[in-house]
Amino acid sequence: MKHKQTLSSAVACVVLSLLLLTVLYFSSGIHWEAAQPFTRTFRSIVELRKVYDIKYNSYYIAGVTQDSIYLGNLTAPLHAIGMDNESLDTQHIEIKVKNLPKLSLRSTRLSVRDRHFFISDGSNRTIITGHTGTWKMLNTYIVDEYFNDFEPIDSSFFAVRAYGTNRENILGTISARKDNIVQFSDHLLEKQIDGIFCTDGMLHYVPYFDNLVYVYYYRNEYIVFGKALNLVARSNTLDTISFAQIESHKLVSSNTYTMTRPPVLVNRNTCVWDRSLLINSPSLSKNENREAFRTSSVIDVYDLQTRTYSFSFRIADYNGQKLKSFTVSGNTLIALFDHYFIAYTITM
Amino acid sequence: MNIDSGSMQAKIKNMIVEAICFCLILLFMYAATSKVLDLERFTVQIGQSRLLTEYSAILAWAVPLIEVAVSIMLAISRLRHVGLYASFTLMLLFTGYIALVLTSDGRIPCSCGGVIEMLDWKQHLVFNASFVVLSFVGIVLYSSAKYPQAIRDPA
Repeated sequence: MKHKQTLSSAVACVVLSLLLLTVLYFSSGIHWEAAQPFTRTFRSIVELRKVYDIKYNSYYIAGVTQDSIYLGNLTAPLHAIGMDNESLDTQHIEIKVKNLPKLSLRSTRLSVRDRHFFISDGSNRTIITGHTGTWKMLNTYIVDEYFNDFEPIDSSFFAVRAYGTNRENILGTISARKDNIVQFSDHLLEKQIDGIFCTDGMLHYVPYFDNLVYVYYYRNEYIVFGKALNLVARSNTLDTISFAQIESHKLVSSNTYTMTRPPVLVNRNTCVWDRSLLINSPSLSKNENREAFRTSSVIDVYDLQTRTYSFSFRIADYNGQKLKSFTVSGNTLIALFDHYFIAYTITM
Repeated sequence: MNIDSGSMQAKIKNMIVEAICFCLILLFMYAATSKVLDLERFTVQIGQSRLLTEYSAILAWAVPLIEVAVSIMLAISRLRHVGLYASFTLMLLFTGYIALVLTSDGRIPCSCGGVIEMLDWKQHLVFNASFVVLSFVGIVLYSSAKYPQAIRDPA
């Protein structure tokens, strides 16, 4: 009789834990994505062309040119993959350097603009440049200011984001032509909470207009500004979150800022395509198919001339993974999924 | 089966139960200590979990406290029985939580403390599940060692 009692007590423990976990799950609201009060117009404009297994998930999009797309690698900063956007042929690239300056793996990134490549490390104030024809290091600049984001405009002029006074994010430019002139503007980014996480976002150069765009992660806004750091416009995306819904806190033990609850992400991923801004949004609109939303990523297209919403399209998940990042070159869109990248043809 | 071999069996079972309790105490005390040593970080970590964020302030204290309480129960022979059930439930909860994280949002940092954080989620799931099994074995052996007549072959 006794081991029957033991068994029923053990079953009671299982039931109790399942009950607690069920309550936790349903009270957290992660089972049901709430629809946002805006509508989307869907078009299907992408057609899958080719899937590549690149073995590692440490690749990121380094940049695009007229005819190619380049991937950098977080753990191997001198290695890259190039892909022709017509033939979809890929090549592995080794960047040749002499007397490599000190670089920190964590903050070193590869960027590509036109016929130039850039290896930047804001924590060491270092920018290395060269031509994509030879992939040989040509110039090394040690600039006057530290930076935490880097976007090349041309071979010697760069847009950056840095920590200003009070360690808050500011946008600026570095000109390598004349003695590394660094300029910052503290009125482009608008602080809402902490000036660090609340102003975090993605910086892009827009070749079509020869200006820049900065898309906030945590609010429905993007900033269009000129190379002289002059504000062109602040525009809104479809989403309704205009004030960053984040909480952050300074950790005394490690002297770093960290978020204390999951942030509400408004703009997850962005890229620039001709005169359009493409934003991968994690929000569900009110006229959207839930099942399709669950198994794909939504890309909203905005016209940067009129700064209005154009339409949206979907990129289906691959192997149950959502796309990590994406970009467009010519009429080829590529998206990274864990250790795969997929090329799509844009038909429109 | 005679009385002697029966009590011998009970002794061995008792030793196994004590070894299991020792393992569980080691696990809980280690986990609780590494959490309390950097309580601020632990609070932040559970706050970043979508499942736990609403309760992070309470849980940051409650989880290590419960771990210590269960360890004490396992160490005192009179409370060992309850302690084993409590360990079983606690490990089920931790394992179930990991399973929920894996199915809903895989990017939450583990906040178990110390070297346990170095496991990836899948390894963590296996690690936890083995402690669930261990505490269940402890419960079964404890009951059968304490009440040997209950499991003895009636013939």
